[in-house]
Amino acid sequence: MVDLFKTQSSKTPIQEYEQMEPSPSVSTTSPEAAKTDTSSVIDLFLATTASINENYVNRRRLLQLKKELTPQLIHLIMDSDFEYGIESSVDVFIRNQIKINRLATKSWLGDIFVEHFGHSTILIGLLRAVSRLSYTEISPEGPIMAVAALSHSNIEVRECGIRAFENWGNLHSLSVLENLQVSPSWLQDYVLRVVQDIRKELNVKVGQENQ
Amino acid sequence: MSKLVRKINRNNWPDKLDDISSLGADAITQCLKTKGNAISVFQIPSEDQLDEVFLALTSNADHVETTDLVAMDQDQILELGMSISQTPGNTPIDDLKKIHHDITEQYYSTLALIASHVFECVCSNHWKRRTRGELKSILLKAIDEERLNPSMLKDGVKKDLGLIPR
Repeated sequence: MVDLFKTQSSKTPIQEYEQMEPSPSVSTTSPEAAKTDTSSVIDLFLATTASINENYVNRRRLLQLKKELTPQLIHLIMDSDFEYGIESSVDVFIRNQIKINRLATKSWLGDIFVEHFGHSTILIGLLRAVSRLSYTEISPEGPIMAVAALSHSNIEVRECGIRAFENWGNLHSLSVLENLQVSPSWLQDYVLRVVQDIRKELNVKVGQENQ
Repeated sequence: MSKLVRKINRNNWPDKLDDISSLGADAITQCLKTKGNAISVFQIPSEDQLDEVFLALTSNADHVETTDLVAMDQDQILELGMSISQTPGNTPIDDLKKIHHDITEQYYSTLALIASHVFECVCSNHWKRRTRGELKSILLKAIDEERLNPSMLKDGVKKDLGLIPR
């Protein structure tokens, strides 16, 4: 199995990142610039520092998630008894991470999805949890995962993609599902019924969704 | 002819099989999970009543999500030598608690017979899927008819029905 955290050097991922980007505590402004006491320089300084802080925090969090929580999440998914309609420990785990840092968590989930595209059980577990988050909370990574799932060779992965769009139930869901051809026939029948449901819920008539 | 209805995951049941012994294990471990060697089912007079089971299950769920049910033939289950006993159902709808039953005394061999019967039911179209939208309508209708007290629903279902903000 490929070790995702193995790097060329002996440094940890966090050490490598710290080399790439300055720590937020380190000023990027030269002493000369600091002496020019104009508001634009101060604004620029504040904006740059804030930007470094945010990138630093997100990047650091992402590395932490990958290093420490990926094995836990995979273990949870493999161990969970998933049942549609019933909350799982994976839902709770992911929601907690979203509360801590939404951006880093979404990016992390997207990475896991791509890295495990050949492992249906992991994809199904991820999609079930992601589909229960609100569209705004999980966009754009969630819908991207769901679209990718629709072309998967495993039927249940495809179904989980459809279920995600069904749960989100918005115009984007409608445009994806309306243009979808899936097999087997019972799954295509399901898609058609979900399209009808979303149209009814959003009060969208046929052909109106693209206007 | 009474039906014994069980929630399944349609994906675990193939449309065709040359030999039932090649049925995937997930069909048994996920869809026919036992507790105390018993399988939980709902008993209804006919398949026309399937929405009552959808209502019983969804009113006790954490989220409103598309659900599949299979309708087994009670006479055939009894002919296989199995026993059925009434046990209170875990649903907030009082008049549906009594339709819950257990197929008791399940063993390795009897579970295989039930799996075989469920597979036949799925292949002969004795299964039904209700979408999330359809389930929401079923729940809202039960609330309108005062069969279901919305305060008994879990928060996830209340959010799905728009009864509390997301």
